[in-house]
Amino acid sequence: MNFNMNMRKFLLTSAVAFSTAAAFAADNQGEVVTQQKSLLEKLDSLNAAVLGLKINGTAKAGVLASFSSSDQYAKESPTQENQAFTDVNLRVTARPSSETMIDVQLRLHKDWQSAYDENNNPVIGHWFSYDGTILNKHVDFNLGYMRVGYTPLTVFTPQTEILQEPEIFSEKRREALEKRNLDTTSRRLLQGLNVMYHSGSLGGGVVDNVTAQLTGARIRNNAKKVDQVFFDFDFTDRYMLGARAGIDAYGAHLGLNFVNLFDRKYSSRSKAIDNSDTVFYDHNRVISVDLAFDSKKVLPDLPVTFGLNGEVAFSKWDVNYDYMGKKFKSSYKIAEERYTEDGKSKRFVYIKNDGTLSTALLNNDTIDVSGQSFYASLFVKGGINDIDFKVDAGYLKTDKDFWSEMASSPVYQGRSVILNANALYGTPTDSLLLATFGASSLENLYFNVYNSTTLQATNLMTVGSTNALSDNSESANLYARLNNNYKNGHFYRNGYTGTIAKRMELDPLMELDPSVGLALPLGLATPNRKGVIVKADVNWADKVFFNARMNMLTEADVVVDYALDPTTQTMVPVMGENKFTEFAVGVGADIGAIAALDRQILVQGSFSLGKENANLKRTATRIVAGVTADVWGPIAFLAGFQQYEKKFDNGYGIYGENESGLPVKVASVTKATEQLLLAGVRVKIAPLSYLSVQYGMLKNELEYNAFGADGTPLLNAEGAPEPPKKLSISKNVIMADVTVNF
Amino acid sequence: MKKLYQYTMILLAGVVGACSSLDVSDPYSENLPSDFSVSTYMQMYPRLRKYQIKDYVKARNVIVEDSLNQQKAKVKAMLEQQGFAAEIVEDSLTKLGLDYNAIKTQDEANFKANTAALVEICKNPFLGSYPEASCANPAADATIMKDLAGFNFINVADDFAILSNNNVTIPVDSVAISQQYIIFGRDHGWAYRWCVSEADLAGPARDPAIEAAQAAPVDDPEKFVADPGIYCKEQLTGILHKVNP
Repeated sequence: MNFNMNMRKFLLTSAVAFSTAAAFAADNQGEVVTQQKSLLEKLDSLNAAVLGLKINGTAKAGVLASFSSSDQYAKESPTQENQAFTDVNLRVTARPSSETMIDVQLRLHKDWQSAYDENNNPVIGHWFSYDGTILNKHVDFNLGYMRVGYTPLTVFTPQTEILQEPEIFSEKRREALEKRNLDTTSRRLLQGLNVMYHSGSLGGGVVDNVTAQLTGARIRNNAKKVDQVFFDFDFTDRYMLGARAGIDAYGAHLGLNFVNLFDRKYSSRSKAIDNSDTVFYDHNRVISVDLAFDSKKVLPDLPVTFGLNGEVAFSKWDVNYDYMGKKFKSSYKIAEERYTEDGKSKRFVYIKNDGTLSTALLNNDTIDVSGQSFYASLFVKGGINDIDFKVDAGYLKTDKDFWSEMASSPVYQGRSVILNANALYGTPTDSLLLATFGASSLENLYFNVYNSTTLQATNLMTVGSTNALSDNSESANLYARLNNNYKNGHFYRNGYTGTIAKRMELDPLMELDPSVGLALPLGLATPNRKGVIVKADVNWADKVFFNARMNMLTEADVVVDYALDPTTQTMVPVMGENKFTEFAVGVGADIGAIAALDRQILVQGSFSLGKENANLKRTATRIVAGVTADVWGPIAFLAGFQQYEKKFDNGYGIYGENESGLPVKVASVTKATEQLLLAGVRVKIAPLSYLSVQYGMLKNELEYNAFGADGTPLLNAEGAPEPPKKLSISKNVIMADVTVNF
Repeated sequence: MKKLYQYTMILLAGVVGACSSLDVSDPYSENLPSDFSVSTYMQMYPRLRKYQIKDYVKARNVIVEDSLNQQKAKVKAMLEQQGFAAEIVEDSLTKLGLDYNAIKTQDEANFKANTAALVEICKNPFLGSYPEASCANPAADATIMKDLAGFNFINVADDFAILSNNNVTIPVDSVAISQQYIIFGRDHGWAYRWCVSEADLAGPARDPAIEAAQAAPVDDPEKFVADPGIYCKEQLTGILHKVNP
């Protein structure tokens, strides 16, 4: 959070600096407040470089009550969920010198809902890093937690872009991300060591900069109590090694980037592989060349600047797996055989391979592909009178077999139930829909629940072992275990994750919730895409904003239709191109600024539509509207409305298990309609302290066709298909909190 | 003094290292004549290959049986869970082609019925290795039929297609063949190459005394008479000639 707060400060400072510069240019003397603010910010940034120990952070005390209702709930289902908490985030920074800094972020979370059980409460550390700029400011480094970005095809995080997202929404999204140590930038959250060298101007100013960067990170591993051998191998261990180098001259940049991701394989195991285990080893390498040019450096006098960005990347992706299988083990013995020659029986001896089938550890290669990706975009930006604009048009082409894990995995993975997760559904199909198709995308985008619970006999997650309350009888250990002095578990319900998914883990998520983008769910590195991307942003003196986006992309080798094969008389798939059409338009206007009032009254709205013409035939429509207004003095009014609709014209199949454990189609989702309304007031009670009261209304409606036990659509008594069923959930949320930044 | 000891040890290690040979001897080839060729030896004594192929077929059938049994166990568990009666389950498993014994019986009957293929297998030197005369109707000879049944790949319709192409389809275990020469062939007067020169043909034949001694059964391994000769074989007549002095 604090990192983000500082980023915001930084952004604010630069925005203020920009507007002061503009103010001076316009010779406008009415911006004293802004200038003062700018001075304060400068003082603050001076303060940030002070040696020694510094603590700052945020404290938030709040309540959240969510009331939900649905006709599909079971009678006994709980419908209310309350959260009451005080959450203090401390950022402790220690600067032994002006060059390096130790950054530790701590969270103290008091959950008032379980306050009496809780007794005392431990502090959770969630960020540890040692960062610095050393060797005469030529080398930057990060050790521990870090955020690293290379290029859109190598190390990158594709982010959700919602045009003109009102502040009430974006703030909620930022908060949910921050709980997972994530932010809204396109850098990746990693753990390890990152070192970057930059030379500065060389050769009498011919070369502006030469950079070299090395990154080593552990992507995942499993917590173990002890290593049995040095640096144990575990099935979950995964590492990344990245390197890049670049040169800047004459406003152009040329870079070479390399990323290597691998599971550790060739070392001893901490746990023997079981007969039922299949352990996958995934290896992904990407090498890319990126090129950029900006005319500002060579043609500074033009009213507009133009340039280009481009990258070509080559990837290799291979997967193999270990499993216990039957292997024919050769064993030799000397055997005797007879034959008849010239009427006489003769004998001879030979070496016989008399092997047996035995269980052995086997390895099998499943995937070994390589692919290529390319994108290039041209941009023009500039300012004419008060109007700043930037237009960007690009072309991209990515092979089906291209795979760049570090650039693809989105942080938004959604699908969980955030609020009222304790609800019970009347039918198994409804529960399954929620569990597999997932809950509301808007709920996942904007809400998160963080609570802490005392771990004791009644709620410890024991599996397959007796706990204090098992067998409906009271264990002798019940009272001894009930009081727990310090074992406090912190739990998240959050739609975001910093875990970088492997391709085989990611596939089913890609098609489901295109919150990042229907056509490019994995950003520019999305495999199997070809087409154009156009972006335009216009800003008229920070009063009126306009944004437009358009993507026209195709995906090759997709099932577009089924046709009758005349020879076999069966329906066979017809392969073809899936065409994606996406466009989005957003408009924002600061009515306060336009009317020359001394306050901000920002009205925003956007519309986006994404469509595909094959495969699941999805259509995603999003309507956003919002107001952020300073009403009077310290009081601000914030409101936002969003409607998001996902249509699956070919139906999205939901599979359950039949009695024998075989998958069977139980439903086909045709449409998901979601609405979210959030409105509230924010009162500035003291400098950097805010009171906020908000009301939210969330509606999620799923339409689906139910399938019978045999996996065919249900029919009514007349033999006609049953009308689509609905699963409709609505939630009313009341939130109030006090936030203090210090 | 301590340093001197260290340096002495380093020097000693260097000397030992310098004097040792880095050549790794190949235990499989060093006892064989330098011009020994597995393929030649195999052609001279095709029965060595015959039994290798039979062993291969047997091993492969074991694997097929195992994988069918695994599949069968899975489907059986599934059907039983659905509450079908035991006889229906057994019947379905057979109908689904998962019962190895049923498949084996059917496949063996098909194999025996295909006379044309049987004749080819019977007279092929690397397969049946029987003289053409005995192969006119292999089904008539129970001993031959029993032998040939060992060439049947269970659950494969066209066995002969695989067998006739055995140099490609079935890997040659060259170590097993070459080592047979060391442990048996050489001492029993088996030739290791074809005779190619006049000098080869001038060599004497096998010593009849040794041949007779080897033909007679011995009750004690100590009494076994090894043939010290190394032989080549005339390609046309099959006569052996001693090539070592």
